[in-house]
Amino acid sequence: MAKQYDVLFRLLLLGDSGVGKTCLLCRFTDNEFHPSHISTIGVDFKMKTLEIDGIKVRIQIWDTAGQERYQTITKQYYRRAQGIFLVYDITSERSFQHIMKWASDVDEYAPDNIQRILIGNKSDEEEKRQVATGQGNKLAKDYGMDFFETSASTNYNITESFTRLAEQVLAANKKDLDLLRASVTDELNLAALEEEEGITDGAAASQKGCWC
Amino acid sequence: HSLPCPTVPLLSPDSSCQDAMLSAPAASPADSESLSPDELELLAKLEEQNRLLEADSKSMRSMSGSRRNSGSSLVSSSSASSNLSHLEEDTWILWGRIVNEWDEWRRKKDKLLKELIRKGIPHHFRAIVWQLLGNATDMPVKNQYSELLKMSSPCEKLIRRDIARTYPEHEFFKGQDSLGQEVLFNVMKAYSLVDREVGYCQGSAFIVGLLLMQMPEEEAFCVFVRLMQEYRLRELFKPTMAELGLCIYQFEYLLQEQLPELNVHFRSQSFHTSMYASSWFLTLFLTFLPMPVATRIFDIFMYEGLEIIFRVGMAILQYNQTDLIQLDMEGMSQHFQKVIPHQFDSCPDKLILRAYQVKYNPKRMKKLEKEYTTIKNKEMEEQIEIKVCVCARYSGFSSPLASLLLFSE
Repeated sequence: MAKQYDVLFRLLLLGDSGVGKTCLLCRFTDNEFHPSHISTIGVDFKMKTLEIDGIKVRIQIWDTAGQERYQTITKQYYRRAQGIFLVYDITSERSFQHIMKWASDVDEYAPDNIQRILIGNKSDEEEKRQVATGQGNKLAKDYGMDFFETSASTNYNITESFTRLAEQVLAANKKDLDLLRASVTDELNLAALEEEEGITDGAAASQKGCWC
Repeated sequence: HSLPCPTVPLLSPDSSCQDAMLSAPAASPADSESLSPDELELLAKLEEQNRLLEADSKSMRSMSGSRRNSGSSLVSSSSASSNLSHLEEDTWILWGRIVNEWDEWRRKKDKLLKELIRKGIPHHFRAIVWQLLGNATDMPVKNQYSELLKMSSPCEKLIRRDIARTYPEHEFFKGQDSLGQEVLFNVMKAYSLVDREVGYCQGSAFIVGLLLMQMPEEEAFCVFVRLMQEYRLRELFKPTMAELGLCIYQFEYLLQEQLPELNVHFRSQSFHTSMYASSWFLTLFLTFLPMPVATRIFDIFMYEGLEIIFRVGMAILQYNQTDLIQLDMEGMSQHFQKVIPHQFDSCPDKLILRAYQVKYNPKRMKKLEKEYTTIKNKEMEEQIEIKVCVCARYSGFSSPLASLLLFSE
């Protein structure tokens, strides 16, 4: 069966428990908002196809449990992602402070050229806001990330932020993309490419043992 | 001490609990051989009852509706079949006897008890039988419960965040001021205070929630403490979640051994075991299968422990092997989310029978555990070595940078 897309890649949603990762995802893929879904246990994923610059981009988006101890499971998925959403809740200062921790974990476990984007979710709950938009902007700038405030509830900036990260991943893989444009192949699986590279990297690294 | 009265449950778990008794298969041959003719006759009777119940299930389902705090008898007055009523009465008498002569049953008729539990504990007996099976009827910690509720726990915020996300569709837990949400919070908080190391772990609230559908909060708390201590759950929910890694490792072995083709297919699609099986272990299928089916599995879990989770997991994969092998990663994921959970809605016994056909060798599992521990220890040593080296070299840098250096070529 012919694939319905040109490029395939994986995005990962990270952030504290309860910031709205699953709601962002449901809004983006199904345009639905369920305030009462169950908490994510382990990992879950959904997919959607976008069209960017005439290229059909299939994205698989991985949703993760937010509690820190679940990283024993979720860490394995960092390595296989090309883009990461770092999500906090604008009504929770704590979830914002934890972004630094999430970002450093990404540095540690994800591939070097991973694309990241910062999301301040629940922007509709203005009266409960604890994190100013300026703070989000500044943090994003410090880390060299783009930044969006979103609301899964009112569907604010959802498509925009997902599309932006997808564009960034495409741009970061421009070389492969140009090959695609030259259209030798009819399909490009970035995810699979990265994975192969990841495996060879891993094998090389393990042979070397200690890096010093 | 006198046992709590088994006939006054706190509430019904859900409207279709009657499904729990549908169409029990014959006892597994290995186990039936050692039963006496009387006992076999009893099992045959239960099967007859399940068969009749199945025929009658539609009317039963419509009459049981949504019942909260009813405490009233579930014995069907509108049941069309008088045979059924008789058989049902027999079951009640039987389970009444079991509960009252518990120690004797455990000592002398354990095999029969096991078979009966596999056929499903009648709904109104679940509260007491789970407590008895968990040895949780007489725990000193129960007396601390009310004191614990007055204390505050560092996990409160985290617990709060999950309360509305635990069985959000279930009548008992619906609404911010519902009794269900209040008692669930209480039990989770109390536990986080008696076990500071584990504190609160996401997923555990589903198990406590199920207990609360059957029994008052103090009792649910005691059973949960036992489950954590005696049923490997504590190891699953510890901050390292090390036991989960082990369970996945063991499960992968079964997969490789018994469903090699499916295993190869999963690997070729990068469909990792942890993607689907993590929640099976952490919530004992409570977040994967509908309540009536998951409750049946939980009955068995209370008696036989985590083994049933491995068995049911394997049974599910085996049942779906032909479909899964034809699907890619996304298709399989959809199949797991949409198709599998409802395959056994009308026939939980089919799933349980299949689960007992899965080969499971406890000795082999023990050996795998040792293997896994050795691997993990070795990994840990290597990591420490690397960290020491990096820290020594880049001690002037902040940690993210150090890790970047570590992972770049």
